Amino acid sequence: MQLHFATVFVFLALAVGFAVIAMVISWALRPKKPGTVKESPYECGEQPEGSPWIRFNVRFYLIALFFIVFDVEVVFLLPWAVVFKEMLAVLGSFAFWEMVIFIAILLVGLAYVWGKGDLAWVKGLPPRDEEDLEALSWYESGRFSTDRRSVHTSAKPEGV
Amino acid sequence: MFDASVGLNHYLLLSVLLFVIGVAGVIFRRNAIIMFMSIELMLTSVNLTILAYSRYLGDHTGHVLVLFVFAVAAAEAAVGLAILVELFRKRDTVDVDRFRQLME
Amino acid sequence: MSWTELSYIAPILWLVAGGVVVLLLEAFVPRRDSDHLSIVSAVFLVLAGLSANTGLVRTSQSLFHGVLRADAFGSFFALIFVIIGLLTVSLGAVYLRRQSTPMPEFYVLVLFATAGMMLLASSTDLVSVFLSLELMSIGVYVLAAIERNSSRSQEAGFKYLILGAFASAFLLYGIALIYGTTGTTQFEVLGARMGGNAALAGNLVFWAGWGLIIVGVGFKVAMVPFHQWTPDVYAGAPAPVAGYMAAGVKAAAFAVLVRLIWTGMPLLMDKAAPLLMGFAIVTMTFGNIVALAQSNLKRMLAYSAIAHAGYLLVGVLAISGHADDAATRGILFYLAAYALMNIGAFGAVTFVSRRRGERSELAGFAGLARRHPWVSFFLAVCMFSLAGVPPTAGFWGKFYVFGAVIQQGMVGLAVIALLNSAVAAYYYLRVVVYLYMREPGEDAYIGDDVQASAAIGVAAILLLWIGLFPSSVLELARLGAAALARTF
Repeated sequence: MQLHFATVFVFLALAVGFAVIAMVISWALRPKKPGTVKESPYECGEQPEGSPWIRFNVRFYLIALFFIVFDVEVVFLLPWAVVFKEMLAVLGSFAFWEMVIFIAILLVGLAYVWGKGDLAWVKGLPPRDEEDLEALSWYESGRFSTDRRSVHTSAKPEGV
Repeated sequence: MFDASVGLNHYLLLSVLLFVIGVAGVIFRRNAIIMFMSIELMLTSVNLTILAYSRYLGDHTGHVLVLFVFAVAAAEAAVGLAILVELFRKRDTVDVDRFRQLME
Repeated sequence: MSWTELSYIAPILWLVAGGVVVLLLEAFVPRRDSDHLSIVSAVFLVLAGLSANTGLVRTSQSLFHGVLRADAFGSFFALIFVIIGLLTVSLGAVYLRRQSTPMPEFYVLVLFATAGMMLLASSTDLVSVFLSLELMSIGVYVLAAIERNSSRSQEAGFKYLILGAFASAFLLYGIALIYGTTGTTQFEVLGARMGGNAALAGNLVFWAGWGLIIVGVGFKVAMVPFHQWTPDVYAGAPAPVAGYMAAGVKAAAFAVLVRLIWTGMPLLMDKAAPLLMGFAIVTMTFGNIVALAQSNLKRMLAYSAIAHAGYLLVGVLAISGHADDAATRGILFYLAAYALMNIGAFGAVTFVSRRRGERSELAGFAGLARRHPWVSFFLAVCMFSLAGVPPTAGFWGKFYVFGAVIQQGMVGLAVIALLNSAVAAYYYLRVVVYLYMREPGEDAYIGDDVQASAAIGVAAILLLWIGLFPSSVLELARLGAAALARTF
C-alpha cells in the first residue's frame, strides 16, 4: 500500500502555521504594560506560596507503579479476544481457561498489594519498624502541608 | 520531488537511530531517571524493528513479541523506579555518579 | 491437546503456584516471623523437583507450538535449580531472621526467578528466551535490592537493573534482527534455515543479530567485557542472593547459550569461534588476576565467577555437534558442581554475618577452624572444589570440560585454561590457609546458626559425594547432552 505522506505534511504545516500566526498577531497587537502582579504565576487568584518544585509524596509513585503494571498487562486481552472464536475451535475450553489463569495470577498481585495496605492512601497496617513509625508521625504532624521546606529536609542521613 | 513511499529500510534506519540515541543516553547521562527513559527508548526502537520486519514478512510472531516486550518493559520500569525511590530516600539524589558506595 | 502439554512443565507450574501461595500467605496471614513461609517454599520446590525427575526418562517433546521443549537437558537443569532454590531458601531464612525489617517476599522472588531459570533452560524459541530471561532477571534485580535498611543492597540492585535492562535491550535487538533475516524465532526452524544457506551466511545483519544475542547472554554470565556489574552487585547484594545469582543465573544463561550454539551448529561456530575464544581467554585471565588482589571473600568470589565463566566458555567452544558430545556433557556437569560450591561459599558469609551488616573480610575468617571446625571444613571443601583439587566435584567438572577441549584439538586453549586454574588455586587455597593456619584476630568472626551450617554442609557433602562418585551425575549430564543431539 502506498502511503501518501505528503498529505500529512501539508496538514502538519497548516496546523503549526496557524498556531504560529495566531501567536505572532496577538503578540504584535496586544498592549505591553508589564507589572509584578501580571508576571507572578497564576494560582487561582491566591498569592503564590513557596516553590512549585516540591517533592511529591512517595505514595503517588507507588500508585503510578501499580497502574503501569496492571494497565499494561491488559494488552494481552485484546489479541486473545480477537482470535478467541478460532482458538475455541482448536483448543476447546483451554482457550478460555488459559486467560482465566492469567487474570487470576494478575488478581493475586492485586490482592497482595491490597493485603499489604498499599492501596490505601494512608497505610492501614500497623507500623512495622522504626522507619515506619517515624514516617507515620511525620505524616500525622501535618507539617508537610503547611511548611513545605520540611519536605526538602526530610531525607535521613545515610545509615550503613 | 522525493519518493513518498516508505519501505522496510526507512523503518530499520529510524529504529537504529533511536536505539543509538538510547544507548548514548544510558552511557552519557548521569541522571538515573533519564537512564531509565533511554532504556525504554531502546526497547521501543527494537519494537519498531520487529514490527517493520513482521509486516514485511507477513508473519505474526513479531506482533506477539512486541506485546511481550511492552509488558516486560513496564515490569522493568516498575521495579527500577521502586528501587530508585528507595535509594533516593536514603541518598537524596538520582545522580548515578554518587551511587558509588560499593566501589570503595 | 494443551492440558496434557501443561503436565510436561509441571515443575514450573509448581514453582509459580508456590510463589502465588507464599505471596498470599505473606499478605493475608501476618506472622511475626517468616519461617513458615520458608517451609512452604521448600515444599513447593521439592514438588517441582519430584515432577522434574519423572520428566527425565521421557523422550524429547516439543510443547506449545515449539516454544518450549521438555527433554532431559531441561530436566537436568530443573534439578540443579531445585537444589539451588532449596539451599537459597534455607540460607535466606537464616538471613531474614536477622533483619529488623524482614522481607518475606524473598521466598516469592526466589520461586518465581527459579521458574524463570527452568523456562530459560527449556526454551526453544527466541520469544520464550526473552520472556523467561526477564522473569528470572526481574526477580533477581529485586532480590539484590531486598535489604531495605541497606543502601548498599539497593545500590547493588539498581546497578544490576540498569545494566541488566541495557543488556536485555541488546539481546532483544539481536532477536529482532535474526527474526527479520530468517523469518522465524523457533530454534529448530532457525537451525534448518541456517543449514546450507549461502545467502544467510553472508548476511551482515544476520550476524549482527547473533553478535547482539551473545552480548546479552554474555552479560548474564559475566563475560569480559560485559562483567563490570559483577563485583559491585555480588558485594552489595545479601550473601544468600549473591550465591543464588552466581549459581542459578549463570547456569540458566549457559543453558540457553548451549542450546543456541547447538541450534546454529556448524555455521555459527565457524563464524563465532575466534570471537568466543578471545572472550574466553580474556574472561578467565582477567577474573583470576583481579581475584588475586581481593581481601574480601565476596568480591573474590565475584571475580572468581568471572573466571569460571571463562572456563565454561572454553567448554562452549569445544561443542562439536556430534551425537555424544563430550563438551556439552562437561558443561552440564561443571554447572552442577559450580552451583553447589558457590552456594556453599556464599553460605559461609551468611553463617558469620550479623544483624548489623554482612561480614565477609578475609581477615575475619582467620582461625575460624578453631571455633567452627565443621563450617570451616565445609568452606574448605567448597574452596578446594572451586580450585579443582581432586576428590571434589570441581575437579571432575574441569577434567571433563578441558578433556573435551583437548579432544577437539584445541590444546593451546586447554593449556591457557589449566594455567589459569593454577593461578586461581592460589587465592582459593589462601582462604583455606586463613581458616586453618592463621591466628584469629581481634574481630574474628563467630557464627551461631545451625541452619546456615547445615545448608553449607549439604552443599559440601554433595560436592564430595559427586567428587567420589561422579558417574551418576555424569550419566544425567550425558542424557541431557544426548537430548540436544537428538533435537538438532
